[in-house]
Amino acid sequence: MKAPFPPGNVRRRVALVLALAAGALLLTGAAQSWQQIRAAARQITSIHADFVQEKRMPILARPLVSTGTLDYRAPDCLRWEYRTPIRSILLMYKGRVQRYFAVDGRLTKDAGMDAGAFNVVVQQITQWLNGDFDRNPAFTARLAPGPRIVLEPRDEAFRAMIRRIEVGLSERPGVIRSVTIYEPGDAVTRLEFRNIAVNPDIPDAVFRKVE
Amino acid sequence: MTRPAAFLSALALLAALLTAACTRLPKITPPASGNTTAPVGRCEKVFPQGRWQFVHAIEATLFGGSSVVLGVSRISSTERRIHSLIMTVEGMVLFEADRGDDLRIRRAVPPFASENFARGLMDDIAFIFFAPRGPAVAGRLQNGAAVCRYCLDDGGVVDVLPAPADGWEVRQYDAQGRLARRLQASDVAVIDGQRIPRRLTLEARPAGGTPYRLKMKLVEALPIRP
Repeated sequence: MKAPFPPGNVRRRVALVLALAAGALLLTGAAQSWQQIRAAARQITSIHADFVQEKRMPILARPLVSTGTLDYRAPDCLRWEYRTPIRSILLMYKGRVQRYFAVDGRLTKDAGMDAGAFNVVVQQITQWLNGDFDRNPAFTARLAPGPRIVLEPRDEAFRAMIRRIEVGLSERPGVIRSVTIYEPGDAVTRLEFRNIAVNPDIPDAVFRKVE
Repeated sequence: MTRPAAFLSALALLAALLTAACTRLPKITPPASGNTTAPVGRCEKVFPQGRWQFVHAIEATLFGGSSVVLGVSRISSTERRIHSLIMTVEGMVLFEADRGDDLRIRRAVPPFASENFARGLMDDIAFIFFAPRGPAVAGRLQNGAAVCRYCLDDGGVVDVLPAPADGWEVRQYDAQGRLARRLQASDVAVIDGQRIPRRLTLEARPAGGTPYRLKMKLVEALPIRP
């Protein structure tokens, strides 16, 4: 089977996970079937949320906690911003992707960013916007009690980075609770979304300007 | 000759030999006291003692462009053990390895999946956090700055400059006297009784390789209790 993207490209995989988290926010809670998920997803055109990300690994004496915000506007605008412990901003506006970071307070354009990788984001977000988790070539998907969606990479090389992803659904329609990413070596990354606004009016500047 | 005088003469000879062996290095002159070993303890205090876990935001500059990752370094100064992890800001692990007697790569994805990269990274971490191994003498550079000079087994030299200001500097020269690594530590915090820099800048010029610079901002420093 042909891989959905070339194996070995880390940034594409990171992009795919970002896309997943963003796309997951578009889900409707308490869904019983893919059909219900797709129907609910069609009602959502934009999202704003705060998030807390917690990384647990055997090497870490205590979890590494990051915080930030996420803005998404259909079909192809995304702002994924980490505020702590390091400021990092991914901007996607109508397919154009830029990334900035600040180590010393000054925002610097990330030269290591693979713009091509984020074409994957656009494709994935569009797919998830339609609630098409079960039609994703990169993951197998199943609905599980919780309720949650369990995604497992099809690509062998991808599985070396991610074992599975669980999307925890909230009882509140249009809201998810969390995204948990299980990696090899007992490493777990958990994103919890808070203060979620569904279908807010988000101006273009949010997706075009870092400040 | 009295025993103290013979001892001081031996130290002076050692200092002269170390300086002579490193003819392309900046010259150092013995301290006014003539005691070239007592001040070395002050230099060694710039390196963290015991077991620590550090988390840094690392800005890497290579070929004129910059990118950022998070680095976790778990070290033991007594065993000289290192466990290192590099991850993206999003938390995706790119590299994990440890080094005690041997190097073991636990996880690595391209472009980090090479033994050369792992060795270079471990050498960088050891350079930043561990006191150099080898005989050392203290002295002053021509500009008057205090310095401790260590001669390494491979013929290289490490100079530690425990500047009285808020930080210190460490320079590593290879066997040909070429500056191979330079570390500047600043914005020092006292954590668990030890001086831990919040800012580190490492400049490396690997022989036959591409020069790079790492700017590291301390996110967290945790002493690890047994």
